[in-house]
Amino acid sequence: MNAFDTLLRWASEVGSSSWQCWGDTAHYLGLEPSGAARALSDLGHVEFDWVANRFAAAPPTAILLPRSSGCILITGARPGGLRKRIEALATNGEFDVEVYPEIAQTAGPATWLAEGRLDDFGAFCGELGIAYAVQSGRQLVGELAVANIQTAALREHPHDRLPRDWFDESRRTFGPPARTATPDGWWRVHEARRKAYYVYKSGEWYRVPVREYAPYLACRASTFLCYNESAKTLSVDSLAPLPPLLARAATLQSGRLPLRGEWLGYVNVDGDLAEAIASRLGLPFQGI
Amino acid sequence: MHADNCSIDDWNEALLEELLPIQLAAPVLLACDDETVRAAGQRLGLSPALALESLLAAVKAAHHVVNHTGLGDLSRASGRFRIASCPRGTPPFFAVLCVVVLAASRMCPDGDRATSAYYPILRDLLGLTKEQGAIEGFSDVELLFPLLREWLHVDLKCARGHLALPDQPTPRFVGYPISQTVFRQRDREVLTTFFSERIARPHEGIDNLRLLRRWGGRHQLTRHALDMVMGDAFADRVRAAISGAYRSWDGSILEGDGRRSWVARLTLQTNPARILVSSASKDELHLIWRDWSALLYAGGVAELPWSALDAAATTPLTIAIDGSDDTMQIPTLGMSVLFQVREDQASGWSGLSRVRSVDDGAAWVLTREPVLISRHQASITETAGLPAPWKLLFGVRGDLLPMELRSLADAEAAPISVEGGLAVERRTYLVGGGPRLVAGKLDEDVPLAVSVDGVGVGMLYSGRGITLPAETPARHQVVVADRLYVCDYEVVSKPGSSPQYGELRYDLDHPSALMRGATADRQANARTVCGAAVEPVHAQCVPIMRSSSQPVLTISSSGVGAWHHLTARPPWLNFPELKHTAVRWEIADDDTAWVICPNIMQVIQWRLIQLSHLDAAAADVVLMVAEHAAVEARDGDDRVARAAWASLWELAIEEASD
Repeated sequence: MNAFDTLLRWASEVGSSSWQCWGDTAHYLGLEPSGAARALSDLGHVEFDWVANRFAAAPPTAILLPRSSGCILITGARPGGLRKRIEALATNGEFDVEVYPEIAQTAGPATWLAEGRLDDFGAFCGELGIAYAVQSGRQLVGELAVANIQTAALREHPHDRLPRDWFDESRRTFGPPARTATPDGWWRVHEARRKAYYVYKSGEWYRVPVREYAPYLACRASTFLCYNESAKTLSVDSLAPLPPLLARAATLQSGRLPLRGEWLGYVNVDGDLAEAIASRLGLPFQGI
Repeated sequence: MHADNCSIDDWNEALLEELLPIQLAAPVLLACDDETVRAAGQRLGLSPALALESLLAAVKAAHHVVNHTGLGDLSRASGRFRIASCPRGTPPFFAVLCVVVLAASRMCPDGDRATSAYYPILRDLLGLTKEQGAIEGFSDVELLFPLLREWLHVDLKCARGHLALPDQPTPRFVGYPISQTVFRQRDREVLTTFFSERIARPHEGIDNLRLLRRWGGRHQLTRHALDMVMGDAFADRVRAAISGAYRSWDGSILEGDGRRSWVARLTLQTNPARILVSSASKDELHLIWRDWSALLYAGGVAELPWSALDAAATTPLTIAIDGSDDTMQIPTLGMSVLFQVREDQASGWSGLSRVRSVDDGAAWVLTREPVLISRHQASITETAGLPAPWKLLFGVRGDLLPMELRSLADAEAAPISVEGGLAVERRTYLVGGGPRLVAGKLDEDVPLAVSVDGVGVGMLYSGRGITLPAETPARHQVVVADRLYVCDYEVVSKPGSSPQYGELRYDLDHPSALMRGATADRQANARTVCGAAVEPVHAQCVPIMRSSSQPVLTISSSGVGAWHHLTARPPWLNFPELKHTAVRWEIADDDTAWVICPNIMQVIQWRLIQLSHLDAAAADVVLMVAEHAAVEARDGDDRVARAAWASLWELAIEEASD
């Protein structure tokens, strides 16, 4: 059990609370609050309201993983005693379900997997009182709107008293632009609680509230996604991580956070899903 | 408001709120001094210059204080009050008692001859002729102070505390007002420095008396005050006096002779670069320094010249305030000034504020130190308007800064506090998640003993912390040193109430769905996402699972056959923790009508679909299996499946004959 597991356990016992409490607990556990929030959100454990500064654990849910030889991933809240109940039910012989040992991961809580007869999963989850879903990641992407400057940004000028810098697509780094120019593109503004992302385009400023959409709106010439059909891996440039729900859809294909590096590698993502993700970002699939 | 417009009732109420705010059962003092009068006057909309004048005018008018009667009228007011029925309103003599205590607060710092020192001060305040001896009617204080105590105890049921009075004051009458003053005027000046350095914000659990005892500047207090602070005999009274003084503190430092020094708060703006100054003063200040001047409105900011930073590099910079003896102080800044993005929740302001130490996160460093600039070249951020040789470094982590720029002596930080832990409620923690007891900069660099439930658990050092025990569910009390800090906490295995899940969801039907996170509000019948659950749920295609290792032929609804063989588990599932025992593999359900495993003679009708055509591969297998197979329906009636199989067999015969 690592610090992420403990943070998830705490969040599951609390149910919901403020971002302040989240931050205090994360710090106590030696975790960076925003990174921990991102990890647990991508895995479907916890939801965050960035306006009201609150978090809430999601209900425990089992989802059937594709290309997994009949594995379900158990995500959502993990209150004390849930694991024991799952294991006890799996061993009592009533269902053809085998619960695997927890599979640790470095940057997140352990993965809970179970394998068994598909026909038994529904009743198994019902007995536990947890929801059961099939291919929810795919459905999730299908329900999302396509991101563009109208759907994902608000016309708003950043405060001049706050420092800001600009993403240079050629150097792929943030820094100051020419002293007096305000070039089009992706801007980062250093606000009190977090860095806010803006798009400057044709003389207009746009704030991108879900900031992960910003590079995809602003930097059309850059390649941030890459798909490998044979490995069924979707790679995302770590400079431009996927927006939360798209990241969750990709993560829920395996229950594993993406492999880290210059590129974030989401495993077990088939071509259909990769194409759907690209299209929600306004990108042509062939381009990735 | 004009000084003449405030009645004695106005002053009674203002002083009552200032000196004795609601604080159930706490020991309190009627510790009225010039600062208190100023603060109470502010409640009445009076400027500091008019407050005292107004108070004294109201008192003299209400109680007919003149030379030949002195305070003789008080007995009448107190008599009426004494016989009135409970609950009684604010005593009509409340403000008078405050004035008599005010006189005591003005006594010479270490005066021994209290009586002879006291009356001249009171006469001067009340505008009475300078004579020797007691003031007419003053002896009534012997009745009035106990009457005030009775009112607080009986009528208010200690809602505003209980008045700490000596049983037998010495001297008999003057001893009453003197007993209410722990701190004299000189002490008040010293206290403003203590507040500024150590408790700029109130900190829960900290005993400010014990904090004052440890403060290095305590020796500047008068002997009278220092004796009371360091002794235990009047500890509750001293605490009450510290609390009272803190309540009326306006954030300035009293320098002496009534002069105030406002500590400058600095903020940095970029685009272009500017240094802005503000203060806690509620009045407009006209700042003057060399040939620069600026009007600083209450709650506003003024732009400082860059030369002021140069001047404050090695010594504090004093800025004069026009029309006043007060000043503004910019502390010694050194060659580098730290800023962090801070937010004021109340006003909504956010920006770069000067800090004395860097907490979590990174700092913006305004510096002209060549070594620092050289070391952090990559962090230099260009910003217009920044004069040479200043550079602005962005995102410098605190632990990478030189030691002299990292300070723990931050008045904003609590000297001792409980932090972290797996808190499920206030001061309630999950088993295994005990909080940490953390110390800031302690004045005396001596470790403090920490005990939990009377048992020592370790020593607390400046800038360090220790984890408090939380192995089993229980209630605990933490005591630091000689009760410098006391705190209770509880450890539980589960919170008292069951948690509710799913409070926050993404509303995908919201017009701004891509611009917001999860929320508590959503439209009825909206499509939502919470964790891994999408609602409403759409039926999704479930794969065909096989537990036999034998190859399988599927026939689609268009009659196309496809062979499938046991596949190895995908690489991403190859975890050492997963020791797969049963054979399980899956086939994508691509509109499958039939699943046939010839080697074990198994036929499953996957969907109830009437086929009109079979390709050669499918027909061959159907004919091979023929009537030997056990036919079943995936969902539904096996007899229907067997009948459908018979039809399929006939179709296969037809295809084969073609």
